[in-house]
Amino acid sequence: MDYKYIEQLLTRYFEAETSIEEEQILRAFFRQDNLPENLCHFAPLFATLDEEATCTLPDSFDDRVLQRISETAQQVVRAERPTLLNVIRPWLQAAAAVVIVVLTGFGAQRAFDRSDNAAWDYNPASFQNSYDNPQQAYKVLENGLELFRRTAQADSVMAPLESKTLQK
Amino acid sequence: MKRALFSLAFILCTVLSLSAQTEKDFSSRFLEQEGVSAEVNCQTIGPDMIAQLASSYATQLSNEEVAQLKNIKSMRVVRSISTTKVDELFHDALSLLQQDKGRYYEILSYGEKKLFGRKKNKTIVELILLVREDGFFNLVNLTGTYDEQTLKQLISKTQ
Amino acid sequence: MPNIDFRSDLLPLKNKLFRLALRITMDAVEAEDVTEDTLIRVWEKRSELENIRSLEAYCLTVCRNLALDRHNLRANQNDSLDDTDHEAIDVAPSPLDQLVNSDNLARVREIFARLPERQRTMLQLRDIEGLRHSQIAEIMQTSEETVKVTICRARQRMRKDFETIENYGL
Repeated sequence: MDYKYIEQLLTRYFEAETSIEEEQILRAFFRQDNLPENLCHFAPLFATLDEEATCTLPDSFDDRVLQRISETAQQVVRAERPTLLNVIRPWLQAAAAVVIVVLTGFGAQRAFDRSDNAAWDYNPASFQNSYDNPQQAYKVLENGLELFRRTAQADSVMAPLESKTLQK
Repeated sequence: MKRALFSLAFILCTVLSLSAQTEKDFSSRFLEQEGVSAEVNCQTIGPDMIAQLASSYATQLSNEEVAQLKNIKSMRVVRSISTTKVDELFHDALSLLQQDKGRYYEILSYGEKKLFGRKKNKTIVELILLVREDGFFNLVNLTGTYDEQTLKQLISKTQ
Repeated sequence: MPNIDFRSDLLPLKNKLFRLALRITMDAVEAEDVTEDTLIRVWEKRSELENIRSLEAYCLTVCRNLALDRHNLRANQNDSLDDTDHEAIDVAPSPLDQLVNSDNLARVREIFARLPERQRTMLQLRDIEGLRHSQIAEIMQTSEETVKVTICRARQRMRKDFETIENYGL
Protein backbone atom coordinates (compact mmCIF):
# COMPACT_ATOMS: atom_id res chain seq x y z
CA MET A 1 0.00 0.00 0.00
CA ASP A 2 1.16 3.45 -0.75
CA TYR A 3 1.25 5.45 2.43
CA LYS A 4 2.91 8.41 0.78
CA TYR A 5 -0.32 10.36 0.75
CA ILE A 6 -0.91 9.72 4.43
CA GLU A 7 2.68 10.68 5.23
CA GLN A 8 2.24 13.91 3.32
CA LEU A 9 -0.96 14.63 5.18
CA LEU A 10 0.76 13.88 8.44
CA THR A 11 3.59 16.29 7.76
CA ARG A 12 1.11 18.98 6.87
CA TYR A 13 -0.96 18.11 9.93
CA PHE A 14 1.92 18.98 12.20
CA GLU A 15 2.33 22.24 10.31
CA ALA A 16 -1.36 22.99 10.89
CA GLU A 17 -1.80 23.14 7.13
CA THR A 18 -4.47 20.50 6.77
CA SER A 19 -8.13 21.17 6.19
CA ILE A 20 -10.84 19.69 8.34
CA GLU A 21 -11.62 17.11 5.69
CA GLU A 22 -7.98 16.06 5.44
CA GLU A 23 -7.85 15.70 9.20
CA GLN A 24 -10.91 13.45 9.00
CA ILE A 25 -9.03 11.30 6.54
CA LEU A 26 -6.10 10.98 8.91
CA ARG A 27 -8.38 10.10 11.81
CA ALA A 28 -10.18 7.46 9.76
CA PHE A 29 -6.88 6.01 8.61
CA PHE A 30 -5.50 5.64 12.11
CA ARG A 31 -8.60 3.84 13.33
CA GLN A 32 -7.64 0.84 11.26
CA ASP A 33 -5.83 -2.19 12.57
CA ASN A 34 -2.65 -3.37 10.93
CA LEU A 35 -0.99 -0.05 10.56
CA PRO A 36 2.51 0.05 9.08
CA GLU A 37 5.27 0.15 11.62
CA ASN A 38 6.58 3.58 10.73
CA LEU A 39 3.16 5.10 11.30
CA CYS A 40 1.58 3.05 14.04
CA HIS A 41 3.02 5.10 16.89
CA PHE A 42 0.86 8.04 15.81
CA ALA A 43 -2.25 6.01 16.40
CA PRO A 44 -2.69 6.86 20.10
CA LEU A 45 -2.61 10.57 19.35
CA PHE A 46 -5.56 10.29 17.01
CA ALA A 47 -7.31 7.68 19.07
CA THR A 48 -7.34 10.01 22.04
CA LEU A 49 -8.97 12.68 19.95
CA ASP A 50 -11.67 10.20 18.98
CA GLU A 51 -12.24 9.22 22.53
CA GLU A 52 -12.40 12.77 23.81
CA ALA A 53 -15.02 13.57 21.22
CA THR A 54 -17.35 11.02 22.73
CA CYS A 55 -17.27 12.65 26.13
CA THR A 56 -20.77 13.76 27.03
CA LEU A 57 -22.84 15.10 29.88
CA PRO A 58 -24.99 12.89 32.03
CA ASP A 59 -28.76 12.83 31.34
CA SER A 60 -29.60 14.53 34.61
CA PHE A 61 -28.03 17.66 33.18
CA ASP A 62 -30.92 18.31 30.82
CA ASP A 63 -33.46 18.16 33.63
CA ARG A 64 -31.46 20.51 35.83
CA VAL A 65 -30.97 23.13 33.20
CA LEU A 66 -34.52 22.96 31.90
CA GLN A 67 -35.74 23.44 35.45
CA ARG A 68 -33.75 26.65 35.77
CA ILE A 69 -34.93 27.84 32.40
CA SER A 70 -38.59 27.23 33.12
CA GLU A 71 -38.33 29.33 36.24
CA THR A 72 -37.16 32.31 34.26
CA ALA A 73 -39.51 31.46 31.38
CA GLN A 74 -42.55 31.81 33.57
CA GLN A 75 -41.49 35.32 34.48
CA VAL A 76 -41.00 36.15 30.84
CA VAL A 77 -44.40 34.82 29.81
CA ARG A 78 -46.13 36.85 32.47
CA ALA A 79 -44.42 40.03 31.36
CA GLU A 80 -45.05 39.39 27.72
CA ARG A 81 -48.83 39.35 27.95
CA PRO A 82 -49.46 42.64 26.22
CA THR A 83 -52.29 44.17 28.19
CA LEU A 84 -52.44 47.92 28.44
CA LEU A 85 -51.84 47.80 32.17
CA ASN A 86 -48.72 45.74 31.70
CA VAL A 87 -47.37 48.21 29.20
CA ILE A 88 -48.10 51.24 31.33
CA ARG A 89 -47.20 49.63 34.63
CA PRO A 90 -43.44 50.37 34.58
CA TRP A 91 -44.12 53.98 33.68
CA LEU A 92 -46.74 54.26 36.42
CA GLN A 93 -44.27 52.89 38.90
CA ALA A 94 -41.63 55.27 37.68
CA ALA A 95 -44.01 58.19 37.89
CA ALA A 96 -45.09 57.21 41.39
CA ALA A 97 -41.49 57.03 42.50
CA VAL A 98 -40.75 60.42 41.00
CA VAL A 99 -43.77 62.02 42.65
CA ILE A 100 -42.71 60.67 46.02
CA VAL A 101 -39.20 62.00 45.66
CA VAL A 102 -40.32 65.39 44.42
CA LEU A 103 -42.84 65.80 47.22
CA THR A 104 -40.24 64.78 49.76
CA GLY A 105 -37.79 67.19 48.22
CA PHE A 106 -40.22 70.06 48.32
CA GLY A 107 -41.27 69.18 51.80
CA ALA A 108 -37.67 69.24 52.88
CA GLN A 109 -37.08 72.54 51.13
CA ARG A 110 -40.08 74.06 52.85
CA ALA A 111 -38.93 72.84 56.22
CA PHE A 112 -35.53 74.27 55.56
CA ASP A 113 -36.70 77.64 54.43
CA ARG A 114 -38.61 78.13 57.58
CA SER A 115 -35.36 78.34 59.45
CA ASP A 116 -33.26 81.32 58.47
CA ASN A 117 -30.04 79.45 58.82
CA ALA A 118 -30.84 77.19 55.92
CA ALA A 119 -31.52 80.19 53.72
CA TRP A 120 -27.81 80.83 53.89
CA ASP A 121 -26.87 78.69 50.94
CA TYR A 122 -23.19 79.29 50.58
CA ASN A 123 -20.55 76.65 50.72
CA PRO A 124 -18.76 77.08 54.08
CA ALA A 125 -15.65 75.50 52.63
CA SER A 126 -15.28 78.33 50.15
CA PHE A 127 -14.35 80.76 52.92
CA GLN A 128 -10.72 80.25 53.76
CA ASN A 129 -9.58 82.36 56.66
CA SER A 130 -6.90 84.85 55.73
CA TYR A 131 -5.75 84.95 59.32
CA ASP A 132 -5.50 82.14 61.81
CA ASN A 133 -4.90 84.64 64.57
CA PRO A 134 -8.23 85.87 65.99
CA GLN A 135 -6.71 89.21 66.86
CA GLN A 136 -5.87 89.99 63.29
CA ALA A 137 -9.20 88.68 62.13
CA TYR A 138 -10.93 90.86 64.62
CA LYS A 139 -9.22 93.97 63.29
CA VAL A 140 -10.41 93.21 59.80
CA LEU A 141 -13.91 92.53 61.08
CA GLU A 142 -14.02 95.78 62.99
CA ASN A 143 -12.84 97.82 60.05
CA GLY A 144 -15.40 96.20 57.82
CA LEU A 145 -18.23 96.72 60.23
CA GLU A 146 -17.18 100.33 60.70
CA LEU A 147 -17.55 100.92 56.99
CA PHE A 148 -21.02 99.44 57.18
CA ARG A 149 -21.97 101.62 60.11
CA ARG A 150 -21.09 104.72 58.17
CA THR A 151 -23.19 103.58 55.25
CA ALA A 152 -26.37 105.25 56.32
CA GLN A 153 -24.73 108.63 56.72
CA ALA A 154 -26.63 110.29 54.01
CA ASP A 155 -24.90 112.78 51.86
CA SER A 156 -27.03 112.15 48.80
CA VAL A 157 -30.25 110.52 47.69
CA MET A 158 -31.13 107.25 49.33
CA ALA A 159 -33.05 104.43 47.73
CA PRO A 160 -35.85 103.17 49.98
CA LEU A 161 -35.11 100.17 52.12
CA GLU A 162 -37.76 97.51 51.57
CA SER A 163 -40.29 100.22 50.80
CA LYS A 164 -39.95 101.49 54.32
CA THR A 165 -37.89 104.53 55.03
CA LEU A 166 -34.83 104.14 57.09
CA GLN A 167 -35.14 105.65 60.49
CA LYS A 168 -32.27 106.50 62.74
CA MET B 1 -37.15 48.88 36.32
CA LYS B 2 -34.45 50.72 34.46
CA ARG B 3 -36.85 53.47 33.54
CA ALA B 4 -37.94 53.97 37.12
CA LEU B 5 -34.36 54.16 38.28
CA PHE B 6 -33.41 56.64 35.62
CA SER B 7 -36.30 58.97 36.33
CA LEU B 8 -35.64 58.69 40.02
CA ALA B 9 -31.98 59.44 39.65
CA PHE B 10 -32.70 62.42 37.47
CA ILE B 11 -35.22 63.93 39.83
CA LEU B 12 -33.02 63.24 42.81
CA CYS B 13 -30.13 65.03 41.19
CA THR B 14 -32.29 68.01 40.39
CA VAL B 15 -33.71 68.23 43.89
CA LEU B 16 -30.32 67.76 45.45
CA SER B 17 -28.73 70.37 43.25
CA LEU B 18 -31.48 72.78 44.17
CA SER B 19 -30.85 72.30 47.83
CA ALA B 20 -27.10 71.96 47.62
CA GLN B 21 -25.00 74.70 49.13
CA THR B 22 -23.02 75.79 46.15
CA GLU B 23 -23.51 79.55 46.08
CA LYS B 24 -20.57 81.87 45.71
CA ASP B 25 -20.48 85.21 47.37
CA PHE B 26 -20.07 88.33 45.26
CA SER B 27 -16.39 88.89 46.12
CA SER B 28 -15.54 85.48 44.73
CA ARG B 29 -17.30 86.29 41.49
CA PHE B 30 -15.68 89.69 41.35
CA LEU B 31 -12.22 88.30 41.95
CA GLU B 32 -12.78 85.65 39.33
CA GLN B 33 -13.74 88.31 36.88
CA GLU B 34 -10.76 90.48 37.69
CA GLY B 35 -8.48 87.54 37.23
CA VAL B 36 -5.17 87.21 38.96
CA SER B 37 -4.93 90.90 39.45
CA ALA B 38 -2.31 92.79 41.35
CA GLU B 39 -4.78 95.58 41.78
CA VAL B 40 -6.68 94.18 44.75
CA ASN B 41 -6.20 92.02 47.73
CA CYS B 42 -8.83 90.15 49.65
CA GLN B 43 -9.13 89.37 53.34
CA THR B 44 -11.47 86.61 54.35
CA ILE B 45 -13.06 85.74 57.65
CA GLY B 46 -14.84 82.44 57.42
CA PRO B 47 -17.73 81.04 59.45
CA ASP B 48 -15.48 79.18 61.84
CA MET B 49 -13.44 82.30 62.64
CA ILE B 50 -16.59 84.35 63.09
CA ALA B 51 -17.81 81.81 65.58
CA GLN B 52 -14.48 81.90 67.34
CA LEU B 53 -14.57 85.68 67.60
CA ALA B 54 -18.09 85.61 68.91
CA SER B 55 -17.08 83.26 71.72
CA SER B 56 -13.53 84.19 72.66
CA TYR B 57 -13.94 87.95 72.13
CA ALA B 58 -17.31 88.17 73.78
CA THR B 59 -15.87 90.07 76.73
CA GLN B 60 -14.26 92.70 74.54
CA LEU B 61 -17.27 93.27 72.39
CA SER B 62 -20.23 95.43 73.16
CA ASN B 63 -23.63 93.84 73.40
CA GLU B 64 -24.57 95.25 70.05
CA GLU B 65 -21.47 93.84 68.44
CA VAL B 66 -22.16 90.42 69.89
CA ALA B 67 -25.69 90.58 68.58
CA GLN B 68 -24.41 91.65 65.18
CA LEU B 69 -21.99 88.76 65.01
CA LYS B 70 -24.93 86.43 65.34
CA ASN B 71 -26.12 87.47 61.90
CA ILE B 72 -22.79 87.23 60.18
CA LYS B 73 -21.55 84.03 58.60
CA SER B 74 -18.64 85.43 56.65
CA MET B 75 -16.89 88.64 55.72
CA ARG B 76 -14.64 89.42 52.84
CA VAL B 77 -12.94 92.75 52.36
CA VAL B 78 -11.59 93.46 48.91
CA ARG B 79 -9.38 96.50 48.85
CA SER B 80 -7.33 98.09 46.11
CA ILE B 81 -3.60 98.13 46.60
CA SER B 82 -3.13 101.59 45.23
CA THR B 83 -5.24 104.61 44.48
CA THR B 84 -4.82 104.22 40.78
CA LYS B 85 -7.37 102.36 38.66
CA VAL B 86 -9.93 102.77 41.45
CA ASP B 87 -12.53 104.15 39.04
CA GLU B 88 -12.25 101.07 36.86
CA LEU B 89 -12.67 98.81 39.87
CA PHE B 90 -15.85 100.60 40.87
CA HIS B 91 -17.10 100.39 37.34
CA ASP B 92 -16.38 96.66 37.08
CA ALA B 93 -17.96 95.85 40.41
CA LEU B 94 -21.04 97.86 39.66
CA SER B 95 -21.64 96.38 36.25
CA LEU B 96 -21.21 92.87 37.67
CA LEU B 97 -23.81 93.64 40.28
CA GLN B 98 -26.23 95.22 37.89
CA GLN B 99 -25.85 92.50 35.28
CA ASP B 100 -27.49 89.98 37.52
CA LYS B 101 -30.71 91.82 38.28
CA GLY B 102 -32.48 88.72 39.53
CA ARG B 103 -29.77 88.10 42.02
CA TYR B 104 -28.63 91.39 43.52
CA TYR B 105 -30.83 94.31 44.32
CA GLU B 106 -29.89 97.81 45.32
CA ILE B 107 -30.60 98.69 48.92
CA LEU B 108 -28.92 102.06 49.27
CA SER B 109 -27.07 104.46 47.06
CA TYR B 110 -25.11 107.53 48.11
CA GLY B 111 -23.42 108.63 44.94
CA GLU B 112 -20.54 106.29 44.60
CA LYS B 113 -21.26 104.53 47.84
CA LYS B 114 -23.62 101.66 47.19
CA LEU B 115 -25.16 98.86 49.16
CA PHE B 116 -26.50 95.83 47.35
CA GLY B 117 -28.14 92.77 48.75
CA ARG B 118 -29.12 89.25 47.85
CA LYS B 119 -32.22 87.66 49.22
CA LYS B 120 -33.27 84.09 49.62
CA ASN B 121 -37.02 84.04 50.06
CA LYS B 122 -37.53 86.55 52.85
CA THR B 123 -34.04 86.50 54.28
CA ILE B 124 -31.20 88.71 53.18
CA VAL B 125 -28.26 86.39 52.87
CA GLU B 126 -25.65 88.66 51.38
CA LEU B 127 -24.65 92.30 51.62
CA ILE B 128 -22.25 94.06 49.32
CA LEU B 129 -20.92 97.48 50.16
CA LEU B 130 -18.95 99.52 47.65
CA VAL B 131 -17.22 102.52 49.11
CA ARG B 132 -14.20 104.69 48.36
CA GLU B 133 -12.19 105.43 51.47
CA ASP B 134 -9.09 107.59 51.47
CA GLY B 135 -8.87 107.13 47.74
CA PHE B 136 -8.91 103.35 47.91
CA PHE B 137 -11.51 100.98 46.46
CA ASN B 138 -13.33 99.00 49.15
CA LEU B 139 -15.73 96.15 48.72
CA VAL B 140 -17.06 94.75 51.96
CA ASN B 141 -19.00 91.56 51.42
CA LEU B 142 -20.97 90.00 54.23
CA THR B 143 -22.91 86.80 54.08
CA GLY B 144 -25.28 85.77 56.80
CA THR B 145 -28.92 86.08 57.69
CA TYR B 146 -30.47 89.48 57.93
CA ASP B 147 -33.90 90.92 58.11
CA GLU B 148 -34.92 94.55 57.98
CA GLN B 149 -34.25 95.20 61.58
CA THR B 150 -30.82 93.64 61.85
CA LEU B 151 -29.82 95.32 58.62
CA LYS B 152 -30.84 98.67 60.02
CA GLN B 153 -28.70 98.03 63.06
CA LEU B 154 -25.78 97.13 60.90
CA ILE B 155 -25.73 100.21 58.75
CA SER B 156 -26.56 102.91 61.20
CA LYS B 157 -24.16 104.37 63.65
CA THR B 158 -25.56 104.11 67.08
CA GLN B 159 -24.18 106.59 69.47
CA MET C 1 -30.81 35.01 14.85
CA PRO C 2 -34.42 35.67 15.72
CA ASN C 3 -36.21 33.92 18.53
CA ILE C 4 -33.67 31.55 19.94
CA ASP C 5 -35.33 28.43 21.20
CA PHE C 6 -33.68 26.82 24.17
CA ARG C 7 -34.36 23.21 23.31
CA SER C 8 -33.52 23.31 19.65
CA ASP C 9 -30.81 25.97 19.54
CA LEU C 10 -28.95 25.94 22.82
CA LEU C 11 -29.36 22.54 24.40
CA PRO C 12 -27.75 20.67 21.47
CA LEU C 13 -24.54 22.60 22.16
CA LYS C 14 -24.28 21.24 25.66
CA ASN C 15 -21.70 18.54 24.99
CA LYS C 16 -19.39 20.76 23.01
CA LEU C 17 -19.53 23.29 25.79
CA PHE C 18 -18.97 20.61 28.39
CA ARG C 19 -15.92 19.24 26.63
CA LEU C 20 -14.40 22.68 26.32
CA ALA C 21 -15.11 23.48 29.94
CA LEU C 22 -13.62 20.15 30.94
CA ARG C 23 -10.56 20.77 28.85
CA ILE C 24 -9.97 24.04 30.62
CA THR C 25 -10.99 23.23 34.18
CA MET C 26 -9.92 19.53 34.12
CA ASP C 27 -12.74 18.87 36.58
CA ALA C 28 -15.98 17.24 35.51
CA VAL C 29 -18.13 18.76 38.25
CA GLU C 30 -16.88 22.26 37.55
CA ALA C 31 -17.25 21.68 33.85
CA GLU C 32 -20.89 20.75 34.34
CA ASP C 33 -21.51 23.90 36.34
CA VAL C 34 -19.79 26.03 33.75
CA THR C 35 -21.86 24.43 30.99
CA GLU C 36 -25.06 25.06 32.87
CA ASP C 37 -24.11 28.65 33.62
CA THR C 38 -23.14 29.25 30.01
CA LEU C 39 -26.47 28.04 28.70
CA ILE C 40 -28.43 30.06 31.23
CA ARG C 41 -26.41 33.19 30.61
CA VAL C 42 -26.78 32.97 26.84
CA TRP C 43 -30.49 32.26 27.25
CA GLU C 44 -30.99 35.31 29.40
CA LYS C 45 -29.28 37.47 26.82
CA ARG C 46 -31.09 35.99 23.86
CA SER C 47 -32.90 39.19 22.92
CA GLU C 48 -29.53 40.92 22.40
CA LEU C 49 -28.24 38.17 20.15
CA GLU C 50 -30.41 38.78 17.13
CA ASN C 51 -27.52 39.94 14.93
CA ILE C 52 -25.07 37.34 15.96
CA ARG C 53 -23.33 35.42 13.22
CA SER C 54 -22.68 32.21 15.05
CA LEU C 55 -24.51 31.21 18.18
CA GLU C 56 -22.14 28.31 18.62
CA ALA C 57 -19.08 30.56 18.57
CA TYR C 58 -20.73 32.91 21.03
CA CYS C 59 -21.60 30.10 23.41
CA LEU C 60 -18.09 28.69 23.24
CA THR C 61 -16.64 32.11 23.98
CA VAL C 62 -18.87 32.57 26.99
CA CYS C 63 -18.07 29.05 28.11
CA ARG C 64 -14.34 29.57 27.84
CA ASN C 65 -14.49 32.83 29.72
CA LEU C 66 -16.53 31.32 32.51
CA ALA C 67 -14.19 28.36 32.74
CA LEU C 68 -11.17 30.62 32.86
CA ASP C 69 -12.77 32.79 35.51
CA ARG C 70 -13.21 29.74 37.67
CA HIS C 71 -9.51 29.21 37.56
CA ASN C 72 -8.54 32.88 37.57
CA LEU C 73 -6.58 32.28 34.44
CA ARG C 74 -7.97 35.26 32.64
CA ALA C 75 -5.55 37.60 34.34
CA ASN C 76 -2.71 35.74 32.78
CA GLN C 77 -4.13 35.77 29.31
CA ASN C 78 -2.14 37.58 26.70
CA ASP C 79 -1.97 37.34 23.00
CA SER C 80 1.67 36.37 22.88
CA LEU C 81 2.70 33.45 20.78
CA ASP C 82 5.11 32.61 23.48
CA ASP C 83 2.86 30.28 25.45
CA THR C 84 4.93 29.03 28.28
CA ASP C 85 4.32 26.32 30.77
CA HIS C 86 3.26 28.61 33.56
CA GLU C 87 -0.13 28.87 31.93
CA ALA C 88 -0.79 25.19 32.38
CA ILE C 89 -3.26 24.53 35.15
CA ASP C 90 -2.15 22.82 38.27
CA VAL C 91 -2.60 19.20 37.36
CA ALA C 92 -0.25 17.20 39.51
CA PRO C 93 2.67 17.39 37.10
CA SER C 94 4.06 13.90 37.10
CA PRO C 95 7.36 13.70 35.24
CA LEU C 96 7.08 12.26 31.79
CA ASP C 97 8.96 9.12 32.69
CA GLN C 98 6.27 8.11 35.14
CA LEU C 99 3.82 7.92 32.30
CA VAL C 100 5.66 5.13 30.57
CA ASN C 101 3.81 2.42 32.35
CA SER C 102 0.33 3.83 31.95
CA ASP C 103 -2.01 3.20 29.13
CA ASN C 104 -1.20 4.93 25.84
CA LEU C 105 -4.39 6.87 25.75
CA ALA C 106 -3.89 7.99 29.32
CA ARG C 107 -0.44 9.22 28.37
CA VAL C 108 -1.78 11.25 25.52
CA ARG C 109 -4.48 12.71 27.71
CA GLU C 110 -1.90 13.65 30.27
CA ILE C 111 0.23 15.33 27.65
CA PHE C 112 -2.80 17.17 26.39
CA ALA C 113 -3.51 18.42 29.89
CA ARG C 114 0.01 19.77 30.20
CA LEU C 115 -0.32 22.08 27.26
CA PRO C 116 -0.68 25.77 28.04
CA GLU C 117 -4.36 26.76 28.12
CA ARG C 118 -4.47 28.57 24.80
CA GLN C 119 -2.85 25.68 22.96
CA ARG C 120 -5.06 23.22 24.75
CA THR C 121 -8.23 25.12 24.02
CA MET C 122 -7.45 25.72 20.37
CA LEU C 123 -6.51 22.09 19.83
CA GLN C 124 -9.73 21.04 21.50
CA LEU C 125 -11.79 23.33 19.31
CA ARG C 126 -10.08 22.16 16.15
CA ASP C 127 -9.25 18.51 16.58
CA ILE C 128 -12.18 17.48 18.73
CA GLU C 129 -14.93 19.91 17.90
CA GLY C 130 -13.93 20.37 14.27
CA LEU C 131 -14.15 24.15 14.11
CA ARG C 132 -12.53 26.16 11.33
CA HIS C 133 -9.60 28.43 12.10
CA SER C 134 -11.79 31.46 11.50
CA GLN C 135 -14.33 30.30 14.05
CA ILE C 136 -11.62 29.60 16.59
CA ALA C 137 -10.14 33.02 15.96
CA GLU C 138 -13.50 34.56 16.78
CA ILE C 139 -13.88 32.62 19.99
CA MET C 140 -10.33 33.26 21.17
CA GLN C 141 -10.50 36.85 19.96
CA THR C 142 -7.34 36.64 17.99
CA SER C 143 -6.22 36.36 14.38
CA GLU C 144 -6.47 33.31 12.15
CA GLU C 145 -2.73 33.39 11.72
CA THR C 146 -2.25 33.17 15.47
CA VAL C 147 -4.68 30.26 15.60
CA LYS C 148 -2.73 28.40 12.96
CA VAL C 149 0.61 28.98 14.65
CA THR C 150 -0.74 28.00 18.05
CA ILE C 151 -2.29 24.80 16.78
CA CYS C 152 0.92 23.99 14.96
CA ARG C 153 2.88 24.36 18.16
CA ALA C 154 0.33 22.37 20.12
CA ARG C 155 0.42 19.42 17.75
CA GLN C 156 4.21 19.41 17.57
CA ARG C 157 4.40 19.56 21.32
CA MET C 158 2.05 16.62 21.62
CA ARG C 159 4.13 14.62 19.20
CA LYS C 160 7.40 15.54 20.85
CA ASP C 161 6.23 14.70 24.37
CA PHE C 162 4.67 11.47 23.21
CA GLU C 163 7.84 10.43 21.41
CA THR C 164 9.86 11.30 24.48
CA ILE C 165 7.76 8.92 26.55
CA GLU C 166 8.14 6.22 23.96
CA ASN C 167 11.89 6.63 24.08
CA TYR C 168 11.84 6.20 27.82
CA GLY C 169 10.07 2.93 27.33
CA LEU C 170 12.62 1.54 24.86
